[in-house]
Amino acid sequence: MGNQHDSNGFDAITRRKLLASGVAVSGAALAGCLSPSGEGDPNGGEGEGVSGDQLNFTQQVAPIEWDPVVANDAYSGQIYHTIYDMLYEYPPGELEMEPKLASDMPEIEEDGQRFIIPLREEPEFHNGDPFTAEDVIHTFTAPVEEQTDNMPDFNMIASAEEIDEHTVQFDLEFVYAPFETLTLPSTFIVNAAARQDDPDAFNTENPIGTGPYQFAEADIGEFADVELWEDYWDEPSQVPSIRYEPAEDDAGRVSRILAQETHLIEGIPPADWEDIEAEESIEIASVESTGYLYFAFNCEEGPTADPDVRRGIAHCHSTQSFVEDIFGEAAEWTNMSVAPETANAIGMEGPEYFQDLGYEFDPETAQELLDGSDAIDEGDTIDIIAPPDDVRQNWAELIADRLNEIGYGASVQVLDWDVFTSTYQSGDADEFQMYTLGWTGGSDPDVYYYQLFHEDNAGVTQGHYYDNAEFHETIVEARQTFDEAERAALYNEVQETILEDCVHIPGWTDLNAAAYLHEEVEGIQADLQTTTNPRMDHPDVALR
Amino acid sequence: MGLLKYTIYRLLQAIPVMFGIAVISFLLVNLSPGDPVDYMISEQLASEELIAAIEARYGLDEPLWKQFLNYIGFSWFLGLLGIPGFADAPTGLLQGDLGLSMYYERPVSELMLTRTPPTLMLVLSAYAFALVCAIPLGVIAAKRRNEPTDHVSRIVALFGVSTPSFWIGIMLIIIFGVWFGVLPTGRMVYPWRDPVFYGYDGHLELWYQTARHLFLPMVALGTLQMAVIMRVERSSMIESLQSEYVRLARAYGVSERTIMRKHAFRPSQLPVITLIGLNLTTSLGGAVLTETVFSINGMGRLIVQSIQTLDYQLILGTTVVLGFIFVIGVIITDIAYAYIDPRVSYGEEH
Repeated sequence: MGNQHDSNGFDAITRRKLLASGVAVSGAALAGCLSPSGEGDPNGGEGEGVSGDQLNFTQQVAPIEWDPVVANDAYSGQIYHTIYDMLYEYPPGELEMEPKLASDMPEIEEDGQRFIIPLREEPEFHNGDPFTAEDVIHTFTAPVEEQTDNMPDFNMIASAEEIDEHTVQFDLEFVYAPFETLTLPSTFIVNAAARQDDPDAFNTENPIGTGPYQFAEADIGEFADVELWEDYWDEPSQVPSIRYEPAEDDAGRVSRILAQETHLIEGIPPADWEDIEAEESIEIASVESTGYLYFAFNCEEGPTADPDVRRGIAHCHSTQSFVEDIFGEAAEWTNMSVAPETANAIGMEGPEYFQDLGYEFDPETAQELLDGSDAIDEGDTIDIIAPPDDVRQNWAELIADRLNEIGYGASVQVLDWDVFTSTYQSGDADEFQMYTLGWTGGSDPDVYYYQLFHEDNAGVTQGHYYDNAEFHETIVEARQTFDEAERAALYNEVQETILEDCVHIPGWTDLNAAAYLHEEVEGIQADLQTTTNPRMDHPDVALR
Repeated sequence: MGLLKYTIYRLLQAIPVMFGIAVISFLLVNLSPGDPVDYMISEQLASEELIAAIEARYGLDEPLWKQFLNYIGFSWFLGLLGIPGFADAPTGLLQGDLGLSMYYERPVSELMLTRTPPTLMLVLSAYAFALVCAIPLGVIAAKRRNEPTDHVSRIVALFGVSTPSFWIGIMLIIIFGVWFGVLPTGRMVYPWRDPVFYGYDGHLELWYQTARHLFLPMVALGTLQMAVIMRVERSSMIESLQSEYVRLARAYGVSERTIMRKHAFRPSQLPVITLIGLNLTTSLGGAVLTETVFSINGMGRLIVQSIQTLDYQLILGTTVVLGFIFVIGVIITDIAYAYIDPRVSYGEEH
């Protein structure tokens, strides 16, 4: 009879064979696969080290398209800002506009409704076509004509005309001062003929600009390569080629830079900031972004229609402490509804000026204000909605906890983006009294105050429905004023009203940052907007 | 009923099932709260005009019943028949058109085709890893039941079953990628690409790097499958070894080796095959997380992105195609039964 432990039986031989072969195969596989990282190519030819003549850039979100007329995501912009130039640009981390494809600053006529822009003659597109006024006109009019997602950025243009081959004239529907500071220095100029010839190919495989890099190849979600354009008309860049690769998962992205598999990552998770900074081989370049996070109240309906209720809620917690605890060095608390750098650029007052109007943690005052209001009774619940974002959810929960502590309830509901958007836009007090949201902002205060506060945008980009005729008139007056000092004064007035009436509780501005291997790469400069962060088109960027 | 007839019968049965998958997926996506356009404009400049333009671009301005006819591809047929209101109707599912992704602005089928090979490579290698480890371990554990070998294998199985693949992935990255620096922390090197693309000297180096890049995701994804298969293999082998025909074989003096190989091992594989057939498709769920952690550009990551961006067409496309794959997987499993076990017969009248 067979024995379970018969040494001549199937099991013993098989086990031995199995174990031996298993161990051998595993050992061979492991020995083969496990090799120490060293200096090799960016994709691990001899390990995962980075070197050679290609800069490897790890993004937090995969880019999707290359035509700035239709593209609307910041991560595609991180690539195509190297392929195209703008008429005017801001130096990295600053908001002092300089001509780029334009040869001079614009001439403003017709009380601010006409802009005449002289263009440089020397720039050429990557396909050899000369840069002309026709390209500028096409770039600025196509978004509206083709109804692309960028249409709202260009709606104010009534007409664009070619005065001569190197001069273009824009007439606006209404006086719009931010056309100079916001529209002109954020529009990348495309090659009109190439784009019109095959718009789909232009967007997916053949984008043509005048920038320092040419598009080479891309596989969406996998990589995108750009190569140095040797005939660049301006000061050339120094990196022969850049490969962009996405890593959406925070841990994966951070691991890549820690393991030195990439030269550079953008999108540093706040929790990993200190660990990355502590690494000797890594440096972080950062600058305060134009982004702005806030809490808004339903000012039209429900208990928060009473300003005292809003003030009470604002006083019941400390946003500043929350921001400092959660973000550490990765964000800056603000008491303004505009990015400080943007405010500073036109000479608005800074956060210190508005300090007295802010809402510090003061539970006694909060209690007094809420008890004194007829709009809310003790035990009433404030409905707070938040998008699916951990930090904003935590902020909402902090407010709810603090309200509970002083005898008023609050419920926090985290909604998917689409549901969240339609809910806050509704302004329906049965659905919410407070919502938290962010805004990528830009280089002019108008993009904050008009979009986030003006009544024209109620139900579109704002859901507080704050009603104050004088306030809305001031916002419109500011966007129609060209004198910077006057604009600054008007916006200071707007900001004061926002704080006095507590329409928003300002939260924080993120830092735009990039972590890079400083022994491998130099000249990395963070920029204010995610689209151009870090500035890879800058001539200082080089591989060591 | 012969096997061929049975196969044809099952394929015909699958048609209404697939149609049902398409209908339910469409309804679930469209009737769930929220609007993709609201998502698209959530934190950007917007206007009523823009919202209308986006809705028109993706056919969202049509009534739901017409969107459904468009999606399935009925509208196209109605257009061919000259029915008013359906002239120039778009192609749909029946014409092999899965629509245009709202986020990527590319055809869904094109996106899925480019993302399928990496996922197939990952899932198949994870399964190879799982089978190579699980079957010997399961057999040994059954043979050495309640002995230390069995205890160890059960602990390994328990660990594998109870630990999420993304956590295993992150731990492997930290240990082998960051601490020891011996394996890549993510991404994939594809063996079908030109070695020059990666800067490699030749195909040997390309394959070697493919193996290195595949190793950690393969282990992360395969561990759960390994544990599940091992448990089933073990219990199935134990059942076979305790069966009467095995006892009879032993009574006849058949060697233990022959008993194991011929009488116990082969019939024990039926539940394992069922499990593999069904889990191959469900393991895509694990691939979703593994691909995200390791930044692999596969179907799993595409599904995550489609949901995050509320890309209706992409959600529908991926759901419907995966549903179809699952149905086909079940049919193949059923048919495989008949090949492997002659005792199994289909639809014969008694």
